[in-house]
Amino acid sequence: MLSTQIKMTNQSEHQKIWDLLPWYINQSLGPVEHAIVKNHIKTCITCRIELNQQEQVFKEIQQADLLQQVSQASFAQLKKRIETQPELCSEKQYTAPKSDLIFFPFQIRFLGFVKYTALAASLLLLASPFLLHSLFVQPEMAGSYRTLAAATESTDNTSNIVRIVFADHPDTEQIDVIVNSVSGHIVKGPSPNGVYEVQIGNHQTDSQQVNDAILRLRDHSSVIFAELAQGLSVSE
Amino acid sequence: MIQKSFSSQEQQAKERHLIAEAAAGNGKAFEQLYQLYFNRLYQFIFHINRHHDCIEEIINDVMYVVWEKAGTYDQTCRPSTWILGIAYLKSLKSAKQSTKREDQSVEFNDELDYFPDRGSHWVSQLEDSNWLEVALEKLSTEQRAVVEMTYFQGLHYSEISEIMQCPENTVKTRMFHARKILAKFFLELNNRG
Repeated sequence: MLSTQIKMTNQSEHQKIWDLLPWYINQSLGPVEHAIVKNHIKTCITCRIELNQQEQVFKEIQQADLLQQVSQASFAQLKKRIETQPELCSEKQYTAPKSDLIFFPFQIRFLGFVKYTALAASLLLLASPFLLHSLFVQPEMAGSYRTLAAATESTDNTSNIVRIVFADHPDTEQIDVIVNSVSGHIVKGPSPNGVYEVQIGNHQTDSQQVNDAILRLRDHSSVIFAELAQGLSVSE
Repeated sequence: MIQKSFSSQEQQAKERHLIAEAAAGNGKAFEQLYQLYFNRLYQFIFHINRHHDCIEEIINDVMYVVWEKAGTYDQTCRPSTWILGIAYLKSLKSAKQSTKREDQSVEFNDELDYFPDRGSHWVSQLEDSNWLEVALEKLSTEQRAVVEMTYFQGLHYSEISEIMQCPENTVKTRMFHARKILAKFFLELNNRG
């Protein structure tokens, strides 16, 4: 009974001192606590081993260069970022890919090729009814909307209308000179956005002449925009 | 090896004087205090939240509080306990706000579970990285704070408990778990060597 009590007291004291070792190492303990620890480690082999180990850890920590630690911590963050975003850098894996998932690099490329080919074929299949339809009903589709790329020759009197935007708000006289230089005359404008609509020549003017006029206008330093009105959005 | 000047009576008297001057609006004295604490705070904050990108901001937040509240410093505790206490709370707040850092708290777990098995990726990490960096990363914010204050700042556990606003036994328990993890990593490194 008595021996158990002594053992427990010793055990409790040992634990208490074991807990104090870091502060014994950093020499912040008061004289009383310091003396207790010092006496205990003379007889306790466990605490002596622990003390020796912690002193080495303490020494390592003290010797660690802060800047080096900062750079290592930064690199760890970067590494984590790379590792958590594999889809953005699939070509460049930070760690070696798991062999049971990817056998060969070309396997990925082949799978990718098959995937995209299948996708393209599906889209082509879906679009085929519209493509076939457009081949047969082209004349009836002559609506008012037309893109610049699909612009066709038109016989109406808007085919030689050009929209122009001038730089630095030149005066009326200067605008007239520029417009006259391409055989044009203002039919509309300026809009609140400064857009002028200019008719090039007359209804007999062909598209080549209009295109030439547009090119000459674009070369002019006072013109920042010149484009055929037909096919452009109605928004000014 | 610990900078003993941190806790010397002379140093404390100087810091108390600078705080009193700052309370009176002396900008020069405050600047001196700032310079005196910059490196210390930098290290302290870095070891707690592990993100260096916001350290200067936190230091300025801490020193702003010091400037604003210098008049309320009652000199019952060491100047370092007061300033590091503010820095600890700011660092903790910053660490919690950081979404980059995963919660790796091992405070209430058996630290042995966190020791790398041979063949795991942490083992290889030990080979090509600094063991201390890897080991510190394995500690919880609170555990790192205790290690920092003990082994880097040389503070007594009672001061640490004051700074962390927790019982002394909690400080010892945190240190208990932290030193186990550090020692395991250190031993593993030595065995390799």
